Amino acid sequence: MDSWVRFNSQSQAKERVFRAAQYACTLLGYTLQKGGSGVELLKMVKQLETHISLTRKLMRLGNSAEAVEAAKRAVHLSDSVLRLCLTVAHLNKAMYFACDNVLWAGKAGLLPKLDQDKWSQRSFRYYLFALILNLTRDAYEIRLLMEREARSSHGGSNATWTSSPPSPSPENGDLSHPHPSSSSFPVAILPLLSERFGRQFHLLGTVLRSNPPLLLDLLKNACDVFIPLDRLGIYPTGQGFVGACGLASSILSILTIVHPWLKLKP
Amino acid sequence: MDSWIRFSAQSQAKERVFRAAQYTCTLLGYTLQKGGASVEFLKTVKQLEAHVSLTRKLMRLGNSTEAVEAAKRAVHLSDSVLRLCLTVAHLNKAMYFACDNVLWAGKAGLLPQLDQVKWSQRSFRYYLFALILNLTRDAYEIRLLMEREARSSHVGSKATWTSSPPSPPSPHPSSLTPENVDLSDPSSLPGAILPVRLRRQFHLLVTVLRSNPPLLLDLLKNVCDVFIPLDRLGIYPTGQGFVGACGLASSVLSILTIVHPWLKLKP
Repeated sequence: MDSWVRFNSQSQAKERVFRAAQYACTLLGYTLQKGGSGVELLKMVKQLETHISLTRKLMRLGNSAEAVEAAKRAVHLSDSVLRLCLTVAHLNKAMYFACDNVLWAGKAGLLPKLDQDKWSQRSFRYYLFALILNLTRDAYEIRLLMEREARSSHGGSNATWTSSPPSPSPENGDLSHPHPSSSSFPVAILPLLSERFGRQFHLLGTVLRSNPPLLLDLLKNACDVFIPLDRLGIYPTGQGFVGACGLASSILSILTIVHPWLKLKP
Repeated sequence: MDSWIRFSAQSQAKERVFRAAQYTCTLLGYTLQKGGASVEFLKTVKQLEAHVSLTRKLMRLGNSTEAVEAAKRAVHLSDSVLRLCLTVAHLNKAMYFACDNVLWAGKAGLLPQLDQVKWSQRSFRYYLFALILNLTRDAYEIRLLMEREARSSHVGSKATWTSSPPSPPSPHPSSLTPENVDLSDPSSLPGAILPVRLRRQFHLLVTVLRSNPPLLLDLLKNVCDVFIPLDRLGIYPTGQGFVGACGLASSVLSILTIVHPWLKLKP
């Protein structure tokens, strides 16, 4: 009960719960539509989804300031790739929130002449770019960690080789100069390539397993990216998939709020 | 900017800002209606007020739990009056939030058959009772502090008398000056002395409130708030304008206690 009170007192936590509810409604609406449910129930779910969406827009008033502050903090990062990705991502988020605020004013009747479609598209464009930058950052972090992991495991295997004689394995073969006269060259290189991919995949698995915050951030961004892609018509996936992705992403976000150590830093 | 981010991160802070916005709309709507503004503009303001109100209802989902937790904490207070007032006030608040959640479900279309007027009245009844208990608590705190202040000032004056020579005796020992009158016996007081006693009590009250900003703020906030359910329940109708002004004032005072936590009355 006490942890719920602490969770409930955070503005972002409540917003995430409402986001989960909104996408649950999207998914439910799709399921009901597919299942040929009553029009009345479908209308109610759609109405609830719209209401929660509008509430979230109002709740996010002032979040642009937070995003700008986060961008200011990101500017001082030592790693140039992280600095670029995070600063621009936060600035895009600030623009997304600003567009969302304008959109709220339109939906609430404060700006009745507002072209809501245009502002919605603009908002999703900024959101998509922010997500692409976040995914780029995740990929960069993964690459760094994989290199470090490969180096450390290589160091370990080197130590083993000094104590035992090298085995005639593909690791010791000179892959840089394949025999040109060998007619079985393409056949011979396929197992080597698949083995290399297997090794890389295993390395990726190891890195992500040992870094839950990075794994969660990657999953969250991967889920989120389908929402603006669908809304902008770049890669239409349908209501059901968007709802499922939004719900999954919201649950992962809630997890990072409940367990702050799961949040990717910086 | 940094303080705004800290403020904005609190769920209650945002809710208070929206409450201020809602009552600003109420007040603005009343002013526009009086000033004979365009129907279109008036409609926009009313629509915005309804939207913010509905948003706040959704934002307060789960607040019943917080109120129940606060009641559980209040049960362990040593002072019996505070224990009673705060526990029952928090339980009433929990009921008010629960009714508000039901009302939200009705307005959002989840419970279309819901009698919204009945649930609104029920909600305001719990809110009114919670406010009355909060005002009782404020009155009790004030009384305690006034007694303490009177005692300390009495001791202070005694200390002064011991250090300074006594004043020469009055030429008219029987004359009724405030110092010579037994204030504990109101029947012995002539009409002229009563205002003196009232003035002294008032001065004591002002001293107590000036030296206790959290208590003063809580008192003002509850006094402002109490007119809202009184109007809504039709017990003491004051009109949209007054309700809007009271709600706005109370919200601003609430925001103050969030921005400066030392201004919040404890426990």
